[in-house]
Amino acid sequence: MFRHIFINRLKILLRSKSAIFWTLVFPLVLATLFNLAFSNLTSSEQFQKIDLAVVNNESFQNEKNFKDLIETLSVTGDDQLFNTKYVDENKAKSLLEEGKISGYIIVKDKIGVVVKSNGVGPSTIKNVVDNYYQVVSVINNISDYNPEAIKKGVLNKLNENTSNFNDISNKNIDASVVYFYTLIGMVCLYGGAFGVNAVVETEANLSKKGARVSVSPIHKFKLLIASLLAGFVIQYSEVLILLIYLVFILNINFGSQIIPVILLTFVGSFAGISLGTLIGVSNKKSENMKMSILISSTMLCCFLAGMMVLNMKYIIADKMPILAKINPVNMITDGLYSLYYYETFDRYIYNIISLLIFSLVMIIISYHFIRRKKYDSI
Amino acid sequence: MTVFKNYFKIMKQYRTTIIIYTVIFVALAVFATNSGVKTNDFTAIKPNVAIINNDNETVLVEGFNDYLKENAIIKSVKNNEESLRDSLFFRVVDYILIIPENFTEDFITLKNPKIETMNIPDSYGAIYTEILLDRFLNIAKVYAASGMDQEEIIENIKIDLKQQGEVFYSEKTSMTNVGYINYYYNFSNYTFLAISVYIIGMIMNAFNDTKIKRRNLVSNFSYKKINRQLFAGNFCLMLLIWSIYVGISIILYPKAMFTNYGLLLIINSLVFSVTVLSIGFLIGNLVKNREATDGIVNVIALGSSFICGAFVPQEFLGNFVLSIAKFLPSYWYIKTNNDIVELTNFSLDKLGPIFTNMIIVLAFGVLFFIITNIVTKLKLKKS
Repeated sequence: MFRHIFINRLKILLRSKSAIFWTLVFPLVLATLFNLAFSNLTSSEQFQKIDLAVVNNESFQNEKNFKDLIETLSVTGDDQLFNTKYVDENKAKSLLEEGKISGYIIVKDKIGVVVKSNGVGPSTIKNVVDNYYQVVSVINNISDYNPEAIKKGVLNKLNENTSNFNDISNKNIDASVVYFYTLIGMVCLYGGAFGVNAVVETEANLSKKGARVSVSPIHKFKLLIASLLAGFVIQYSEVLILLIYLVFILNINFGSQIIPVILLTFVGSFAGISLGTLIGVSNKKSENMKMSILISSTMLCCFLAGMMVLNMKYIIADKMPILAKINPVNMITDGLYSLYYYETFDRYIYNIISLLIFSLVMIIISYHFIRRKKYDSI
Repeated sequence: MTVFKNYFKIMKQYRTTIIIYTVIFVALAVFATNSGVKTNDFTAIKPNVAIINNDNETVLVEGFNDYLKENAIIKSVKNNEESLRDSLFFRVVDYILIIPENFTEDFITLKNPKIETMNIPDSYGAIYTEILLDRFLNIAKVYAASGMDQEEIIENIKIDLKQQGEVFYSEKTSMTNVGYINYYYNFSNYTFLAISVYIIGMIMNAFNDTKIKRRNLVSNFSYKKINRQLFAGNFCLMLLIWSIYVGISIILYPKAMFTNYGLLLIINSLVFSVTVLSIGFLIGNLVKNREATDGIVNVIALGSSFICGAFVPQEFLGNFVLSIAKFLPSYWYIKTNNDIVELTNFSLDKLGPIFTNMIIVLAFGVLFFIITNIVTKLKLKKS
């Protein structure tokens, strides 16, 4: 009997167009859109050489040290800072106006920088000019303080290549992956739709079909569990399809290991189904209304986990940690994020356990709604 | 006017849904604007830096701190590895510095101690911050090598750093708030499409019920007349939604809105709302099933917002994406918004292209309206 119900539920669910749209087609469309929109986002952060113009007048030619400095910084190579054009003043003005350069340098009595607005480019140009003056000042200071030192060549330290830093940053730092992680969180919770559906069609007071199956001589839990299991199988397969699409077609980075990802999405789908079950049993609203509750609460969770505004995930975790800790989408997102960004599994395991607790709470509450219901008439 | 009046009767029935839906989406727009603008601001002149000092509060470290305060925005982040790394990943900070123990002593004795750093490799933030830091540290190193003690180093550096080149601005920079209204109005692509297509779809469904439709068709009204009146009804609804959206922008960003920029953005959004309306009208006429409308709304609203630059600014989108986007009215609407806030003066030759873009947006609207009429006509013939 269990098998009979299970297989028939599978067939019914697979034929429900709107459920399949929301849990499979829609996420795939969103993933594609994310990929289109964010593919350039990381590269836009990458440092590009700054376009600079220098007014090539007599004063500039006379300021020999400065001229050398600009030339050194414009030599093609890894350390290149500027793409420099040497032009006359009018040309420089029109280049700036057209936005072809970040700013231009003009040497009169002093070295001046002309820019249009604030930004990295203009600030960098200004910094280089400032630095030039400051080095001159350093030389003066030292020759006052300890002229011997200059002869010993301390000034070479100014341009020394020994780094002052020890870079310990992580190379996996592409923030746009979080969008895709929230998407997986969303699909896991959307799977709750199958939970809602299973409940509505087995509970006698929610639908005619429910009333009909309730009079059959099968234990109610057997019925419900068979339906839920069918929903879970479909949902988890959809999550896997999405994962395959993300990994193989869109080349989204999930860190180095795939097994923990598969496990996490498994637990996540479970959490989704149990949430759906609770939404199904906890009220007597129509199925459409229940779906709206599920979809809007999922969307809210996604928003708080950073699906629309990436920083949101951090802001919530920082300012309202409780909200981050009870949000199932955030648990899934955070679990995937920790796999991508951290080497250790502590945070990942914490999220898995949170999801299990979340599901358990949902199931216990649902159970209290369902148990021991008998109707003489409906 | 029978149809027109009836439209409002039906609208009244859906009152609650309409209000809830509008409130949610407008709230979303406000929320996204306030938290979203900074996210995409890669051009900040001051990088966000977090410092963890494991050395004592020595004069050198203090001086270094003061220097950073002037040239960067110091963010306080909880001093544990996870919070630090999270804040970097979510771009709350661009650069993290961990000053090691005994840094000052090692520095003065020229042992060349290294500061541990975390950053986003090769990003603007990282490279720019490094230039700033190197400047201070290299000068300090030279002073240390020439035999100065901490106090003397800091004192001298202060003198050095006062030496600066001159900066001239070629033109007045626009107000800072314009970024907010720009984002808010770009976001309206999502809000308008989501709200209006959903609500219009809902109301049109009532008219498209087979039995009601048949009843309407045997009346002495032609389908064109019915369509026109329905369109007028939808137009009033759209106008209401538009004015709420504009009203909120004026309440939230009054300084920026009471300018020519604000005025142009309002005009542009009005033009766009007419086009949105005819998109909603078309979908409402094409799709009979409520559930299907839900799906289509989301795909259209989210889809166009993503690829046309409502969420991620157009300048960060790839060329391939943009060339697809050009076939959608949303692209032209958002492009116009961006062009408006870039304006430096309001002369006719600068405004010309902006009005041309608005006409393009409107042309899309007219096109959709014509398609709706053709579709209804074809459907009539079929039935």
